[in-house]
Amino acid sequence: MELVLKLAGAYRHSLAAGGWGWKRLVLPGVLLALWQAVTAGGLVRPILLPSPLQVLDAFVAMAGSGELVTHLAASFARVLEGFALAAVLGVGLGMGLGIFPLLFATTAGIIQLIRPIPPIAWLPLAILWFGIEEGSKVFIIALGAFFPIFTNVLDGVRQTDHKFVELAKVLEVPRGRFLAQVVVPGALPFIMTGLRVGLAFAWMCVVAAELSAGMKGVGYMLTDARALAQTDKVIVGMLAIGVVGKTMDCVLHALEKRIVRWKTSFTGA
Amino acid sequence: MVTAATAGKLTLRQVGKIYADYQGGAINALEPVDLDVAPGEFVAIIGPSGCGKSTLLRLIAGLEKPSAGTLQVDGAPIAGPDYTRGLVFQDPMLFPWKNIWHNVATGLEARGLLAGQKDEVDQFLALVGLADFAGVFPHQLSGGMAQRAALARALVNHPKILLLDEPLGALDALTRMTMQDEILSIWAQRRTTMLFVTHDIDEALYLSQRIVIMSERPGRIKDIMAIDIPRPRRRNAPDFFAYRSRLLALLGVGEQA
Ligand SMILES: Nc1ncnc2c1ncn2[C@@H]1O[C@H](COP(=O)(O)OP(=O)(O)OP(=O)(O)O)[C@@H](O)[C@H]1O
Ligand SMILES: [Mg+2]
Repeated sequence: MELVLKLAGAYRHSLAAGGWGWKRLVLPGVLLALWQAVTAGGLVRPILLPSPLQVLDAFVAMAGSGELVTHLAASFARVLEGFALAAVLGVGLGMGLGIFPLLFATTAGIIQLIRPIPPIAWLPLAILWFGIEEGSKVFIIALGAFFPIFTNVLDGVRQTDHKFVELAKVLEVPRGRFLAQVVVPGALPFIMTGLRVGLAFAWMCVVAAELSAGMKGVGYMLTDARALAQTDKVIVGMLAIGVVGKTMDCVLHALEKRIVRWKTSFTGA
Repeated sequence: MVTAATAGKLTLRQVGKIYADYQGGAINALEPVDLDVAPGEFVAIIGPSGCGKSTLLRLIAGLEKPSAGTLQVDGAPIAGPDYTRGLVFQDPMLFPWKNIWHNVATGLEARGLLAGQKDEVDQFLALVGLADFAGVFPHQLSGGMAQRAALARALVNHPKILLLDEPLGALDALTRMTMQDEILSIWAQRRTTMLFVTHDIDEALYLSQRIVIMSERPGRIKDIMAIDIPRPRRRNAPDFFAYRSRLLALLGVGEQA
């Protein structure tokens, strides 16, 4: 409960800091009202689209019974594991391939061959190799999150300004120091972007993997509810993914702002 | 801080540069040139775009290998880039993630000298008038201030030769004139050999002892003009007019009657 209060506080704070306050709530409010109007007027059948209040009821019931938390926690744990794996590999390989041309020459071909394969296409193999419940899902998530992270990190290393390279030579900056003080900080905004996109991919992959196999997780909860024609539960599950995903992205975004303070970003014209 | 130049003599003999272009062809950027620069001399280099001015500086910096000829500093061949030949670009190229103090300290830190020479960094920041901006990040500086920081970053290493590639090219006219005076005062104090590439004839005339005029690609040295105007020079001194007409004629920009 304390955590929830803290999060709410942080959210209100971020609203205030953004300086837009209530304006952010206009569109969601309008959509909600529209949704309520459409469903209350009997225009659509509840099985196709239940009303917001029905969804709220379902949410309260699912939250109370612990069903929501159980499934969400299962998915969340998988995302964390897969994403952590992808972050380590993606940042490591992205840096490595960007810095060492030999490593790039020998491995880039294979990586580019694997990239177009949708992560979910690995599911049959992954189940055989890593088991149907945890292993296969973590594998799929890691694979899905890896490529955006890897690609962005590699690009981040690549975009190091050539003049910085020349300057470093003239100033006799040793290679290790050059990498640590010029290449890595210059690549940081790209690394953070990669991590954020990677995290979004991780959520897509976990749901896709859980839809296809297993007995736990938000994806499983969605298929189960659909099979029982509990559309309200489906919507609760979807919204839960949105909220948790957005919250995690906010954490990364706050981290990014802290790390990349030297950059002024474009906030719109 | 005033030290008479004892070093920084530059000798180029038949130095030419041919680049390979992306189709495997050859770009003749620099025809063999001969050039002697005395220690502590201020030489400006002027010429049409693409005539090889930057190429010449990069060769002297050691960032590029000559296709022909030899380059020597104080009698020793140039083997590669090092801190004794400092470099300043048109764009300040400060490291955005380092504050001004650490930007200026980069060279000393790189050579493991920073611990003993921290006050050196402060001194050079003061020399370029940025003493109060040590803790500030580059994006918080104006273009002129950033370029002064870039100058300090090069100077703090006590280079024998300072290579300046259109260093004031991106600044407004007023800031530009202030910076010219600052560069002259730094030169008067330190007597570093200066090689200053510019597109601005008046800037070359105001600053330098000699002007190297280069011709259209493939770059050659068309003429070298000694500027015997006493210092301190006044920007509107009548002495400039004769030099200016000769320079314009050499650059093939005829004056309209
Ligand atoms: N790395 C490179 N590879 C291939 N060609 C190059 C390279 N650098 C320069 N050149 C070519 O060499 C010629 C001279 O270039 P350089 O940059 O020295 O000209 P410049 O006199 O400095 O021109 P500007 O006044 O526009 O800065 C140009 O034709 C350019 O296209
Ligand atoms: Mg140039």
